[in-house]
Amino acid sequence: MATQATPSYRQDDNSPVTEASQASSRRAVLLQNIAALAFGAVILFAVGFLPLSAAHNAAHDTRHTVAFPCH
Amino acid sequence: MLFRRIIFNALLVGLVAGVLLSVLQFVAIDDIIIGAEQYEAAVEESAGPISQWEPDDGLQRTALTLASNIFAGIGFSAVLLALMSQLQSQGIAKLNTFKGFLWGLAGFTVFFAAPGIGLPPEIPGVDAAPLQQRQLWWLLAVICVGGGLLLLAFAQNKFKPLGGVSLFVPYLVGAPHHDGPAFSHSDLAVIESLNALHHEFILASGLSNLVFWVVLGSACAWALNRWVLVDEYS
Repeated sequence: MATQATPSYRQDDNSPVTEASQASSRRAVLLQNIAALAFGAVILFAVGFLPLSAAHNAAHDTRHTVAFPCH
Repeated sequence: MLFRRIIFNALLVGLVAGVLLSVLQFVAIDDIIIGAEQYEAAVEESAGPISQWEPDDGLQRTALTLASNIFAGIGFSAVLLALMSQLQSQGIAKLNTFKGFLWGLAGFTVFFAAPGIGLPPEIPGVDAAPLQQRQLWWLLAVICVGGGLLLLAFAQNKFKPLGGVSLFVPYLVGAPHHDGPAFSHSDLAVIESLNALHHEFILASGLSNLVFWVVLGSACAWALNRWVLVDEYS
């Protein structure tokens, strides 16, 4: 494959090189969005679901207000 | 870096939405929770002393509630921004503030109304099914209805029916329910006032969450275009 990657071929938008870099940037975007989603889920778990009694009592009124199951 | 921009904007939007929710809660909800707790305390006193830490009523409790409302806002914003960012990056969605408003309505439906159909919002002192079962069903409702709405809105036509079916799954499974009355109090007058408080609470929390969600959704969409996906659009 390396012999096919001549300079003119690289400049083509449809070249394997560009496609590969687009795919890797799409993967990077997806991974970062998944990480941000996980960050949000962990925070929501801490506020709404953590079974520790101190955490429950501190976030008690929030749990009731946003209708997380409580008590 | 996209991740950092999402988190930063989730902190900002969460702060605004959490403060707003706290104001609504202070005006419309706190009195109901505290009113119901007075009956709960009477029941607990007869059941024996409890030694777990809890915040003192007043400033400490209000401050912790404000903080946890803000954290809830940050968590919901991060989830919403991550989904919006992914769909817009893929060219599947093109957000604007009005569409963000609609996302807010969807968020209200997914995180409040859908679980609330099976497990209505509760005031302190309600007798209910074991906590873990309710939490699991809550999660099932959120995932099925959230996933269903996403499929209906953004998937190819051949997958849309799957989204429609997904909306009904939690209700076919059925929410866990406690056998017996909601309030185990011997005094009928007390039960009547607790029921009245409960109805008032469902209305007040529903309206507060609706306002919280439409502001959160609109703000997330605005921040997405203004700050989060700025590399792609500047």
